[in-house]
Amino acid sequence: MESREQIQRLRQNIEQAIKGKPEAVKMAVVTLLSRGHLLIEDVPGVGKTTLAASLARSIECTFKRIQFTSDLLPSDILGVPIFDPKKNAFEFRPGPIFTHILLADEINRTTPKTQSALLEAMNDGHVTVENQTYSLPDPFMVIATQNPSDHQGTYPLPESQLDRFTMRIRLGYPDAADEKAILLKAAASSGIVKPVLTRDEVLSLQKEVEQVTLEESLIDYLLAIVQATRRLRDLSMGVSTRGALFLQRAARALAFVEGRAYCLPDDIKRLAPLVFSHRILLKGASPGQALHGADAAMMEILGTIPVPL
Amino acid sequence: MSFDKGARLLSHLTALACFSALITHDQFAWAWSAAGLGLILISFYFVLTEHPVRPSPHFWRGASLLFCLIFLIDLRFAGALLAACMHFLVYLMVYRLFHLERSKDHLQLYLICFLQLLAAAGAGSGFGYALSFIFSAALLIWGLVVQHLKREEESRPAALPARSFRSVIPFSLMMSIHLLSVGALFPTLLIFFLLPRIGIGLFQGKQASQKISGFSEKVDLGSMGAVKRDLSLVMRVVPSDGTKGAAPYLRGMSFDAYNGTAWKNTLSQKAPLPRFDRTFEISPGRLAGDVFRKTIFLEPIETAVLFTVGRPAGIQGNFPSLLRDRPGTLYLPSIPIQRTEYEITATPELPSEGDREVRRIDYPPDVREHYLSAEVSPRIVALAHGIADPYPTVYQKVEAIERHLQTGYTYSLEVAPSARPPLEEFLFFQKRGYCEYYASAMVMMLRSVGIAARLVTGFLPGEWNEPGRYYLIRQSDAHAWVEVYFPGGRWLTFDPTPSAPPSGVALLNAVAAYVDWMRFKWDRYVLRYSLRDQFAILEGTRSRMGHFSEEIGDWIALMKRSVEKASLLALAAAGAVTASIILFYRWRWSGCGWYRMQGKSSKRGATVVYERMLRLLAKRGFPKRDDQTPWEFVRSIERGGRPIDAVRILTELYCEARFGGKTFTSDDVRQAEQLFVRIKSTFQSR
Repeated sequence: MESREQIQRLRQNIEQAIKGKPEAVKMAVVTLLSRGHLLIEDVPGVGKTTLAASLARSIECTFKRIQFTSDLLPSDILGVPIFDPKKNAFEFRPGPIFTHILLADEINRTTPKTQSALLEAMNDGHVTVENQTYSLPDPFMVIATQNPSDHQGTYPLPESQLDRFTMRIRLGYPDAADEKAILLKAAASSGIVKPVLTRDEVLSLQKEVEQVTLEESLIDYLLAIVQATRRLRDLSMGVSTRGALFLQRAARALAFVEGRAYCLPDDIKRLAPLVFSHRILLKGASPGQALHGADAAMMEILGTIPVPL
Repeated sequence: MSFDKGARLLSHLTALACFSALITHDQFAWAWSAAGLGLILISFYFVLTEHPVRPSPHFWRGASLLFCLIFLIDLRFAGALLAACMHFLVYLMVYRLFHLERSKDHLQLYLICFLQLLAAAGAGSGFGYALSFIFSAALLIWGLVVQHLKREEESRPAALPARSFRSVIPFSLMMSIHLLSVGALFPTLLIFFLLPRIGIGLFQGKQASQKISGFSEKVDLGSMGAVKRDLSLVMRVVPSDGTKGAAPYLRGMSFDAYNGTAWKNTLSQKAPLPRFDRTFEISPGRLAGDVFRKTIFLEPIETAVLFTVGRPAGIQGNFPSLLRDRPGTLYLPSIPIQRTEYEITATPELPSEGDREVRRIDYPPDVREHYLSAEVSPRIVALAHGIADPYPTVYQKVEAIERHLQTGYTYSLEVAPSARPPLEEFLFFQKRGYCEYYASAMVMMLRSVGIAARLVTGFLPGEWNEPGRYYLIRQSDAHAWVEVYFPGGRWLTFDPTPSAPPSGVALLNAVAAYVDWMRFKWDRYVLRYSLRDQFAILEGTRSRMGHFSEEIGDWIALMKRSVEKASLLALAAAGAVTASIILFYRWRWSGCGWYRMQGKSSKRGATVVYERMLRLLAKRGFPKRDDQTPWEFVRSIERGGRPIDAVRILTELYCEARFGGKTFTSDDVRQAEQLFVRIKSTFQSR
């Protein structure tokens, strides 16, 4: 099976660069195949950027990186119309967002205003500048990294922005053996990965993912989880319909990545915390606590929803 | 032919069969029959030709309103609940026939059909009913099986092409359903013929004494016609507390005057009893001691006499009035033609200490006038004095005479005719006789020694029906005994007749008891329908069928008689149908092949197998929590440290079929079976 091989190749390629995180790598691939955007959150120095960059570089397509800082402006991302004296007209100079894979590094170091510049691009695949709409290349994927919100000099992402990320993953510290391997190989490998998939191959994989069977009772199961998040006791915001849609797509992609042509309840249950926990907002918690509280709440919910037989 | 169409046609046939049962009913007007038949045929034609035109919803709304109205009019003016219900059932059936979409519609139709059968059985009918019943029963079994498959069919994705009738119901299945129907029919027929007969003589043990009289308002020792032992039901006596208690004598009439051969009641002037609501007061203000209540279900037996127990204080029943003659016998205003239900509140009439001590009784004038005259031969008087005189008290005298009769004479129903007066014949010559001889002799002997006594007729308590907790009294339990006057206007009961031999075989009697109990419940709660009515209808149909040759006529009459019990048959058939459905489910559940192999039901089939595995594992201490996904469950068992390859593979098979839409091949089925066996042996019971 060709597609299976391709995915295997892609995963192995990324795992060369980032050791001991097969789960995170898999989820990154799932996000790519479900045409979603990925938010990687963790403390500095555990490989967020490495993961994002190696995924981006594994695909033979354009890749740009924006380092988000507090003085970054929306036009720095989107681009600006510039007056061309020769033609006597304004000409649009595209910003770094016009790429296949965009690495938004430390996205929460910039102001909400600049963060919001990504909204349209992430949702609709185009940007509008001065009443002029410009299409983005396909595939288009934003991989954002962020430090936990209670760290110094961060602006928490607005809910609308968070909602546009398919999933939020954490890397965590590698275990001792992996960490040793990293240190040993640090000198040897330059950390540069070669592309293993073309753009067209990615597009066709994304199409194949849409063919994965999702049985009706699983949709009911998914919706039962969504509804449970809306009934949560100390909740100020539950999972949106977009969130449900993203989980559905991600479940298909996960089944595909695991080599199945159909989804299982396992897929949904496994993805639900990753896809949903950044979408629910608990009352009276600081942003940092809220994220952990949401994880706990998701686990609690999953323990109450019966899996269809 | 598509499966759906086949199912619809089958439902139409079922409706036709059940409706024809209704047509055979006498109370069902021919206009209704014609209209119903016509509409069934129109609907049948619509389905057959796949006619696209249907009456509009407005039409049905109007029709429904109209029929509610007709129902009310039926009730109000025709006054016949049964007919009104039958008409309404016809409308419901037609409505359903025109709205057969999903399988629940079909099932509703079958329910209506069943009710039609029941309604038709409720008033009995004829041979035609038997035929349509048999057809209906077979078709209903068919229909239920087909509907089950239809439900499966409905769960298929709509996009798939409709399957043909033959592909859903292959030949082998068709044959097994046929066998099922026929199989269900045999026990049904067995019950059909046996049930009405158990307890009416077929299974009664043969006895030497085959002749006994039933209850009658005359007691004539002179006429010695051969009276057959009549086992037909007279009444059932239900104690209110459900305990067997002391067996009650059911007192009917009393007689005061004996002319040498026959007894007469000269005090038969009747007066109505006072009535309060439903209660008739017999002896107001005398409720002392052990009060008991008994509910009596009296069949119509051509007498207006109402039977009582003990010393009745009051009677509750739905009669317009109640009459009492001077000795205290109770009469209904007219001879009942239906079963009469009433409740008696009474106290037992037992001798007190004073009664046993009294040596001389001062009789009131009316007692002296009526209950002391003994026109009998001096020989009887001498015998009586010889027995009674040695004893000082009245009570002892009575007991002595009673004992003399009980021990010195033989109970027999065969009394040879003779020219001598019957009592002398009994006392001195044949020394054998039945209860009326014993009782008459005792009364006359008591009167000869100056003790006021009278003859009483009624019924012995009959047999105690243990399952139903009631006494069952037949005509053969009719009896005569003696009442003796004691101070205070009380009449105490004495019975000089030696007890009769027990009847029947114990085991069969027990069976008969259950059968009678079922019949009692059925009659009482479903039909309110008595044997007598059935006989009347039987007679009616027999005379209508008169032109048939004698043999065929007899056979049909036999059938009809059984059909009168068709209500029981319906019950039995319903039981058989239920049993076969349960069997069908079990068969399917046990997974023996064809069901799961069918591609369309893999999804369910896989789930069934998987659930079986879960049940097995749960029993072995590995229950699956509801929130666990299939693979989480596998991992949780793995942590239990058991080898679980089989569980893994079976889970995979299940997931593929359940969520991946994979079709089970016969290999998969075989593999699943083997896996299941492996899991079973791996997870031995602890």
